[in-house]
Amino acid sequence: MDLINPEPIIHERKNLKSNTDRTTTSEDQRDAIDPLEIFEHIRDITDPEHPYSLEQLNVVSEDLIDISDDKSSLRVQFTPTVQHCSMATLIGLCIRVKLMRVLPSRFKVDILITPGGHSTEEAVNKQLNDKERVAAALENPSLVQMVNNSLQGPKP
Amino acid sequence: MSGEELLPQRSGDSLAVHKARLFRKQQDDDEEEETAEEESSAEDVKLQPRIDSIALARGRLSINTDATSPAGSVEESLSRKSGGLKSKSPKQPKPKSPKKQGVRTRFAEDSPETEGERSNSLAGTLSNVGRKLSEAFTFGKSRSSSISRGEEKPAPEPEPVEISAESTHGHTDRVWSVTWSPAGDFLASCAGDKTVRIWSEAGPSGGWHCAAVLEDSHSRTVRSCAWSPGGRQLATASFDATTAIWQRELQGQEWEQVAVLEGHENEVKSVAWSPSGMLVATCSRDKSVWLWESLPGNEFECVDVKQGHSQDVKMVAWHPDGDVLASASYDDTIKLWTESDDEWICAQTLVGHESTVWAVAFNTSGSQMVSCSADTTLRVWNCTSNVDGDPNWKLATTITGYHTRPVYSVDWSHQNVIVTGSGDNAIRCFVQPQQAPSEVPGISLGPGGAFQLLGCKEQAHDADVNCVQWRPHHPSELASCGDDGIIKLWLAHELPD
Repeated sequence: MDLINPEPIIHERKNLKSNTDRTTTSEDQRDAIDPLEIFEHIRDITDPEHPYSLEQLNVVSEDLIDISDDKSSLRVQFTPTVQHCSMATLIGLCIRVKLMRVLPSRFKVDILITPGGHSTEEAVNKQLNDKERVAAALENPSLVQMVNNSLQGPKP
Repeated sequence: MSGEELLPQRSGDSLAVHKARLFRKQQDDDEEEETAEEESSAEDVKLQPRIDSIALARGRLSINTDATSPAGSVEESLSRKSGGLKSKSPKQPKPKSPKKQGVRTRFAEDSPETEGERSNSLAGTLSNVGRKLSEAFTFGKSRSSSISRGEEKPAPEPEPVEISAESTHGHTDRVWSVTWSPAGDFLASCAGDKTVRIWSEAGPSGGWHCAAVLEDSHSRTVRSCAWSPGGRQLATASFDATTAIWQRELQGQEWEQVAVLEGHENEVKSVAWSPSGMLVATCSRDKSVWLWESLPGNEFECVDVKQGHSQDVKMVAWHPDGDVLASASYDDTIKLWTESDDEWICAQTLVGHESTVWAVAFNTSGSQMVSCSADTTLRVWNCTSNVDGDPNWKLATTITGYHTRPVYSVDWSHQNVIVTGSGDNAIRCFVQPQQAPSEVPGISLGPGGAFQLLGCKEQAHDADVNCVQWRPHHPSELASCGDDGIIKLWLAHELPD
């Protein structure tokens, strides 16, 4: 079977230190969600094609995550491994579903391809951020199966 | 509008009693048992709608159904043998189905704000004109942990009434759309839980209850529904690629599916009944708009299939005169369709929005149309006649700078107020004053005049507002629904001086 990207570059899994230098004030009952926490949720999503995580393929990284806990807004950018990757929409959908399952419902989430990262990025972005299209896609059992496979995490 | 009677507050106890009484009134024990049995069989055997034959031919689709005589069908619909799909009156809570994939799990994380706090912040966002939206009713179960709203609200705001605290009567998934019956007495809501619920006022003392649940029909999300002009039939459009036609008995709210419109290749997004009641329009992600003729005996015949949009068609809406159909699309355009020599043609394509157009609405006279989009703007279009007498639509004004997320729904009232529902959780009202204001930020002045923000209800829902609609024959009342699974009824009234 022809893979879209037969020779992906594999990166190391990073050891990221959490931001322990937090001033605790009396009103601050709850730590704000930061990019690292988001990254922890999505780093181990498996690429649909290869048995590697999105982090290992450098598809997602912590610096491509913008979050404002106060405004309940989150933007995640991801970089497909190749410009014409036809799995881009599926990867974006996996990221969206994972975040949907773990984040408070108050968050408005935008999933976008890193600018310049894909030949049809506008079209992919539009689909990924059309909630009606996403909802309909997630009623498709075979698609949900594929997403769940990727969300299972790295194979042992 | 000042001094308008606000609906009375109900205390918690009396509300609970009120609900229990209504629930028992719906059905007796026998029927409960019967429908419970039927329900379990429905899981194994797929109930077929009352369709004798379906002729599938390209462009011509005719559904033959049993001619249902109103008089005899009341008894028949209660019988188990009829095989037709019936609505179920609200009954005992079903065992919870396994958690649907994709449903958010971590939503109890925030401590909920009190309504009092929210209303205080609302006061700061009101315009100078002084109107505001007050929550008259809330019905439907919230998926998030929430305290009963309204207890902490300061006077003189009306106390909202939470109709169904149990999950029995509320939708169990996001509510996509709410549609008022033509008389304004019933509200149909459709949701991701594949059901449609009919809501009505429960008696003269106020309060709303779920009069009927239309279920076991669609196999996927029900996205939108439309009442026939007579108020006797309801069309429901679903992601399962079909549109079901339901009919209710002459009195009461016993609904029965009488036809199904098949033909779209994938999700049907919207359905609209023409003002005359003769035509039904549907649209789909397959990029097409279908026109169906309603014939006697609950027969529906496809009269035309319109290709033209280059992408997913999100919504169809009829002009009040009934001779023009507007369709809004993912391709960022609005198309206007008219009938010419037994065929429907695309008379005009309106370009301007910079992203998906989610909805359109006409004003009462049909001289103007407003569209809302994922580009966070509203565009108002004026209708003028060109030299041949054909209608020609032009952009009058663009309303920008208010919404911060896609605008999913828009409606135009008989009092000329535009209401919007947006992904930023807010409901906003806009009006076109007689005299244009000197300077109002965010409004671009066009030849049609400027629109002014009348009021904004932030956090109208705890999630995206999917649909807003003014209530017919009840000025200043509107219904909204959202991703939080809740349906709310609002009253727009003047602030006290």
